[in-house]
Amino acid sequence: MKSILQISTYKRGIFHIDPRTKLFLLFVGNVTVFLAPAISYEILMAATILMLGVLCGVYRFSIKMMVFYTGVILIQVVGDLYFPNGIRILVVTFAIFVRKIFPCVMLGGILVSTTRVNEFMSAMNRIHMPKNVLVPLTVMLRYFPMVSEEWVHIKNAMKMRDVSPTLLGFIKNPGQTVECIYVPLLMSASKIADELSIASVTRGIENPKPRTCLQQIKFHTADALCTIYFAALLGLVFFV
Amino acid sequence: MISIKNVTFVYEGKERDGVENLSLDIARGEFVLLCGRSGCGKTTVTRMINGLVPHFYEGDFSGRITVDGMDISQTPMYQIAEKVGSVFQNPRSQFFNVDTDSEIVFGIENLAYPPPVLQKCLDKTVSDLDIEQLTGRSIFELSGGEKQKIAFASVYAMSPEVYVFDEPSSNLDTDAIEKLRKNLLMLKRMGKTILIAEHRLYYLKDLVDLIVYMEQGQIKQVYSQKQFLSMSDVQRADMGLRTMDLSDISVPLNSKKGADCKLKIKDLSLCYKKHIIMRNINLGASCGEVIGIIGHNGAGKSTFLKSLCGLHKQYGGSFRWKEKELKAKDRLKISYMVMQEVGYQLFAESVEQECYFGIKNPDRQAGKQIMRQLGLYGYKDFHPNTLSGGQKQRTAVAVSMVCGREVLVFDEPTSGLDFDSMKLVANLISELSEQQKVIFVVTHDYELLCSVCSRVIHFDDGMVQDDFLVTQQNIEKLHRFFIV
Amino acid sequence: MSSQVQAIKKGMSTKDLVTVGVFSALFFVATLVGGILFAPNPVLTYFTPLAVALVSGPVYMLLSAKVPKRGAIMILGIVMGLLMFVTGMYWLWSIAYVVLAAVAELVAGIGKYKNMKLNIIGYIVFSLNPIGSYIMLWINQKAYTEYLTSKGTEQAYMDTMLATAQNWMLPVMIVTTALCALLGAILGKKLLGKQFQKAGVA
Repeated sequence: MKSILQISTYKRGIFHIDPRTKLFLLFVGNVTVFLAPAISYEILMAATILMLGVLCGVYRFSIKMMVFYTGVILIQVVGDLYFPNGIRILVVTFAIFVRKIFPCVMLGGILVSTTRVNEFMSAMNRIHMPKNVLVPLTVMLRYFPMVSEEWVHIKNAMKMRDVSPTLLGFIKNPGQTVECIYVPLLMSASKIADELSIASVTRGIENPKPRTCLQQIKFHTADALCTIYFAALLGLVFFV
Repeated sequence: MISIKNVTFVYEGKERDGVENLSLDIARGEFVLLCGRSGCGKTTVTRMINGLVPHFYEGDFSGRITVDGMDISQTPMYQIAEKVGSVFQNPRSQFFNVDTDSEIVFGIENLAYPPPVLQKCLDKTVSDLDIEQLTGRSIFELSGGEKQKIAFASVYAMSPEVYVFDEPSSNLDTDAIEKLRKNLLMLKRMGKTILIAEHRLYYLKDLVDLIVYMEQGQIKQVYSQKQFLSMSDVQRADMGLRTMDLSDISVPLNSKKGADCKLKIKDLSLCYKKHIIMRNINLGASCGEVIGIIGHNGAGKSTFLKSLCGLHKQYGGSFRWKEKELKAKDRLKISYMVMQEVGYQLFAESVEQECYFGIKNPDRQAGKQIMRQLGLYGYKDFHPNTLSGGQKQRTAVAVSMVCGREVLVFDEPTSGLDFDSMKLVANLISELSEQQKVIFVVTHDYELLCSVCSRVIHFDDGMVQDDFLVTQQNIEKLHRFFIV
Repeated sequence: MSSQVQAIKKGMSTKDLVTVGVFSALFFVATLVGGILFAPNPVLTYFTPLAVALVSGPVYMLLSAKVPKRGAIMILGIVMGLLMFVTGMYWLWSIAYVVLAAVAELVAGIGKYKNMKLNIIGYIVFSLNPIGSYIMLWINQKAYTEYLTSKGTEQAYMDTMLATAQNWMLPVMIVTTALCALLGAILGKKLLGKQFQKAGVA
């Protein structure tokens, strides 16, 4: 996993949606699924999101998720009819659980994979996110991919000391494994936090004037279409 | 332009690194080099000018610093930032954003320039510094040198009057240092005031106007460029300074090639992310040989080391040790790599515990002996993280000795080290060589290479370009690579 | 020292904010590790909060030792909640992050953020957050019942199932998660004393 948000600059798909619209869609999606009166309604929701995914150019992910979703529904139905009692409770409950959170996870996945970090930060800037949240959030998105780099180094160092960096190694020798992972990881995190803050204060991050942003974000027709469509879906909940 | 008057600063909870009753005046447009041994306080002087002392680092501060009429201790950091730009040692942790464009404009966004101006500044910076090929990239795909260029661009975009550099060449290879030198020259021509704290001096010799030599928190001597360049090598080494001119460094007239090859590598090819990055590596190494590995960024040096140590498994070909073929798992048992970021491989709460970490029934007597030998015994109860860079490295070496490893690999062991520490590393490696270890050293440090390696292997363009002994006859080859 | 410096010291400084950001990333990774190991399995899924509470303990404890100020934990909660929301996790989880972070702040605040015991209690409260997403099972009960009834499932079976799920699952989850959080926090405390304070990073 490289980052939770895209770093590269390429665009794809017919729709390019503003991050602010995406936040709104997620909000509406969550409320709609929460209030959904029937499973048919949830399926409509999932289908809508699939369509959105395709329009945004996220083909493989959307199709994979759709297959998975159908599978979950099948498990729920089949399990309900044919599974023995004990397993049925377990499996059906889990299927319902997954089904419920599914549309939003899928929506989240699509939106996240089509948003660039600087675009997202620009949106956060525009909705006047306070600095106390904006700075940690930026740093977090920045540091997240670094964790996997650090992990590679730590794993190598562990192997050279004959400490196995696997789950099995952990079970065999928990104390040692825990130290080998947490100590270098947290030491390095502390050091990087210091250096990163130095690099930002010497470039004036403490300026009380509101920051500007190179990346300009704008609403387009696609934003309007999505907004109207999702709002209509939500409206439907109250009329059905 | 800059005036420091009777400044004393002691870091909170730290005896080292501070400065005592220091005064210094720097005129507009001067290029000043701060040098001296590690911990002499030169980094602190840079911090006094960019405001990190007293605003960021806590401690006892007295005296007065002014930059362009601004009283540093009374001016908030963001106002200092408009006047003084800073570039630091570690390119990896200077980035706030994940893409290069956002990073270049980070500073001017903080200054709240309107968006059209931001774009203009970005375009100008990119064309001035000739970094078109770096725009619109993710920072995670950049090399150290490229990251340093972006860090510099971000400061340049703010167009400060004063530039402060803190050991900018530490993590750079020869080509990147050359690029850095060109950028410094450009700033000098623009009439900017420049302060640079550095261990590597050779690339600055034509740029500096004033050289400030420091010792234990005080200015010992101020030299002009002429005075400084006329200093003898012995004098310079006594002061703990690195060479001013790489061509002064001598190499032995002849080196002897190892007689019997204990380690044999046959038809090795290396893959990285499903691409073949190196092929046809055939080489042998005998005990006591110190082999320097050179090559440009991305030539596959680290991948080679990792596969040698059994950490990188996508390879073809074979490794033989004493005529026996070794699988990756077996190589892990006979080899040890001292990483560039040595912090990743130190796990325990004290140096002594570190030596015995993960070993059942360690031989404590031998451990003590090794710690004494490496000058670590006095620090045996210290936490490894509180040691200096060189001491951390020696701790890692101690571990390898306690475990009885035969093949030792050093990845850039002297990045950021001063002359004395570099010498210590060189001595340590020579000693290990006398103990009949097989040693590989990946390095960009010409001084280290000449003082310790008996043989050099040059990797580039996916293959072994050259494999030669370090002798007077082959010095041309080294000069060519290190742009001497 | 100048008054400027003093003023910054009181609230969250840039260094504090950056530190919170870095540790939030680690916290997110820890959550992800726990989540990937347990969440996609029908049986183990209920153990996800336990695993997360266990592995993120040291990260939390070091963060509260490094930034013993009002707001550190709150920001961690907000940032985590926001990220969970953006990645499409169940919305109650995000709310739980923010609410529980506020409670943890209050608890730690009693001891001026420096009392180890109160910090541990704060962490225990905070680590209950993933339960926010499981609560959906209980909240949705009515819709769930209606759905099942409409399909003609035996009322008796359903009653048993709901009763089982309802009566003991939630309290058991809360208690076991709290226990794991306690363990994780103690582990964090141990590492703090043995390593990080000695190393001068906490």
